[in-house]
Amino acid sequence: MDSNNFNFEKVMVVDDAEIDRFLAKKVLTKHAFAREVLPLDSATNALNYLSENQENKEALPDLIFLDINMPKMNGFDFLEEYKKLPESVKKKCIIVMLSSSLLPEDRELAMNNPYVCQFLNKPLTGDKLKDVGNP
Amino acid sequence: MNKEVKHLISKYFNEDRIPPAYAAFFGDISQLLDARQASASRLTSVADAALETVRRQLKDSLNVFGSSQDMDEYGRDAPSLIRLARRLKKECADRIFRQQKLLREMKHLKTIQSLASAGSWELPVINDELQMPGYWSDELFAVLGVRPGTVHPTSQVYKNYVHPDDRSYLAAAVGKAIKETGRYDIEYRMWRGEDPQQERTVREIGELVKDGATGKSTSLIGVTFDISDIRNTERALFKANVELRKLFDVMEDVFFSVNMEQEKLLQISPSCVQLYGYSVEAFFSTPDLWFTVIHHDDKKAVLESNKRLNKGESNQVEYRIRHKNGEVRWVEMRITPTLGHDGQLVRIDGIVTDVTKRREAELALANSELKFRSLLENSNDAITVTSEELRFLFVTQSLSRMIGYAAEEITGTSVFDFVHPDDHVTVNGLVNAMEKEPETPVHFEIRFRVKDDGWIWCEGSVTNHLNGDIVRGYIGNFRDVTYKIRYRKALEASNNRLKKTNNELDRFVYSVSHDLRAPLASVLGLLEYTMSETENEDVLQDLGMMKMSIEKLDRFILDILDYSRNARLEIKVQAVDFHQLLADIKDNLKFLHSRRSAVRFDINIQENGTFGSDAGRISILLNNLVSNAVRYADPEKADPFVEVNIAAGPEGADITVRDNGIGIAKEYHGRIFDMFFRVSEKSNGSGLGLYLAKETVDKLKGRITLASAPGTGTTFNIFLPSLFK
Repeated sequence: MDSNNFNFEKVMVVDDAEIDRFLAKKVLTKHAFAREVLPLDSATNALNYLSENQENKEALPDLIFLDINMPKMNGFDFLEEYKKLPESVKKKCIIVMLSSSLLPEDRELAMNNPYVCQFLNKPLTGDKLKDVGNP
Repeated sequence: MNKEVKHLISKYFNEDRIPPAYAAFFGDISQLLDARQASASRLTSVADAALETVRRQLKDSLNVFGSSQDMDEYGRDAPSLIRLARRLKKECADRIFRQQKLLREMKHLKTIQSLASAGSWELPVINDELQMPGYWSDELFAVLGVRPGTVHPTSQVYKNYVHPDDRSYLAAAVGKAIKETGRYDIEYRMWRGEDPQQERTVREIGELVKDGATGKSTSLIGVTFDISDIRNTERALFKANVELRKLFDVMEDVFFSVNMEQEKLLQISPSCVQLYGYSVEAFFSTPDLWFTVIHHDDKKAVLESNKRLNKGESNQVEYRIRHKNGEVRWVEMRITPTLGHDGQLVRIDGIVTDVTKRREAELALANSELKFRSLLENSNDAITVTSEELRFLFVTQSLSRMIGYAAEEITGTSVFDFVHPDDHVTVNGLVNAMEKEPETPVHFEIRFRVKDDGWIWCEGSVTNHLNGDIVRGYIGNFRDVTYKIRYRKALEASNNRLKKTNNELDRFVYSVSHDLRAPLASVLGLLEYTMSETENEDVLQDLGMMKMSIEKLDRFILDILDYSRNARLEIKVQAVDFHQLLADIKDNLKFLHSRRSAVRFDINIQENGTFGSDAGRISILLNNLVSNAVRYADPEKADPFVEVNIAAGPEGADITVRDNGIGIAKEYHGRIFDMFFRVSEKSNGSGLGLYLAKETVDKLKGRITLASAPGTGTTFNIFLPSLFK
């Protein structure tokens, strides 16, 4: 695979589990999915980052892998706050839910959110990445 | 003038109007009588000539009266003349008397004719033929409606006044009388004044007068009188009589009158036969029969109430009598008394009416009212009627029993005095609801005050009958449901606790499954990543085994999650899209069993109309069966496959899941749906998969069977009914 040919420039991974952030970074890099992986350990930090860089288009991610089950602020809470961010941010970012939850309710809730374009079950593998971004 | 003569004149004549001839005559007589008294002898010597003159004058006068035949008896002597004079005197007196009598009778006749509207007439008859003209009395003219003398009294003229239809009838009667019978008495119609509008009915009696000597008819004499009024009266009387008779015939009431002085029955109407069964005669012959027939228990009351008659007050009393046929009947007797001058009761008049039916109806009504009231009072439900201002107008004893206050204490007070303050708002709501829909019961649950003992819960309904015909007000009926409400409240509380527990359990299962699954997913991800990074066969084999083990654990968690959800979640019926459902299953297979995706997955779906069920559960079911088929695919087979056939419609869905896998031996068929049952130690499932499948099918009210043989494959046949109502 051509090392210059990345699917996305910058991919944010929001997950409280270090092992999952670690794995995501490895898989995304190995499959040349992202040139740069931006791991964030909480929804709050992710929102802060987006908010701080809302004017800086370069710093904003092209795609966000969002976990659901996180302490304090979960994935859905994140989406509620994300809604309030300026259009410029939301326009650039694609959100993919990445969760170990198999509850149909979670999937449904996620898919009904206008900012979520996909729902993936953990673990993240090379096969699953093939469909991301071009559903 | 001689006294006797004077007396005579004054007696028989109007002294001022004595004709001159008579006056002179009376003068002569007077002189003669006076002379005789003076000297009879001298008289004899007086000239015979003078006496002769007197004698002749007397004879002439008597001749006028037609009695001259025996005149020769009287001589020329004085005594004879005196006798003659006396006779004349007598004749004169008689004549005057007769004249006056005649005059009087004529006057009477005229009056009678006029009063009786009876006209008399006479027509001469010669040779049995009526002659003209005849005589009509003034009243006959009046009967005919003309003035007397204005028309000729002939039968020809008379005919014009007779009703044309009756003319020949009259003529025939007259003719028959003249020729045969000599008399007729008929009625016919007359047009008074020849005016058809003034039709009258007359009665005419005619009689033929015959000459005594010859035996020939000389005249027809008769009377015609207007009997219209009589006839009209008769007719009216007849009609009245007929009606009265009818009335008496249908009258069931018995009338009677009693002379109380002699205690004698004066009259009793024949209807007594119907009412009492005894005849009029029986009542007359047995004076106390009316009392004898009175029911023993009522006799005293009747006598007692009749006492008022002695005071002149009318009496009305109801009592029972025994009919002759043994029946007991209720009668009502009304008596009006008549008191004499001395204040004593002289007569009573009364009516007895059979009121058995009315009485029975009254008794029946009273009886049903009694029953109704007893039902009301003995019912455990309280019944209340309240005014528009919410004051109790009526409450049953059952309310008293319920809340301890006497009915008298409750009546007249406000509803709010007895309703728990927290429920006043409910009462106001009830009134609003009843105003909107009168005559529709409105349900309520309200706390009522119990005397000295707090509150009870009452449940019931109240209806707006403010415009009711019989009872006006809000009519409520309710019962004490305190225990029921307490029980229900306890039940609600416990139910809420259970719901909470259930929710907690649900959240627990969810979070446990997630918490267990998340690290597994992480490990699985790392394993796959590591495997993709190494070429070392030994390492790869180890990692592969680890992976299989983790996958098994993962599936186990999923199964438990599914089981818990199937058991607790409500069935969510919706239209099932099998195409979408199986596409998802196919997707799942790809990720969950990527290593064995060599198994061919065929899907045939026929949908005829909408099938309704719980798609989530069907998904669990098919996921289980399909993944089993994939997991237990026969590695010996060249073309391992799993085939899902679905025919679904409004009636239900027939589903078969068929594979050519390793199959299941017959002896296990009965147990494979058991929890944690596994066919062999080689199977690496949780032992929950088919149990879950069966549970799901049961939950969806369907059925599942299998046909399987080792080496051939397994087929599951499932039927699910459509759950749309």
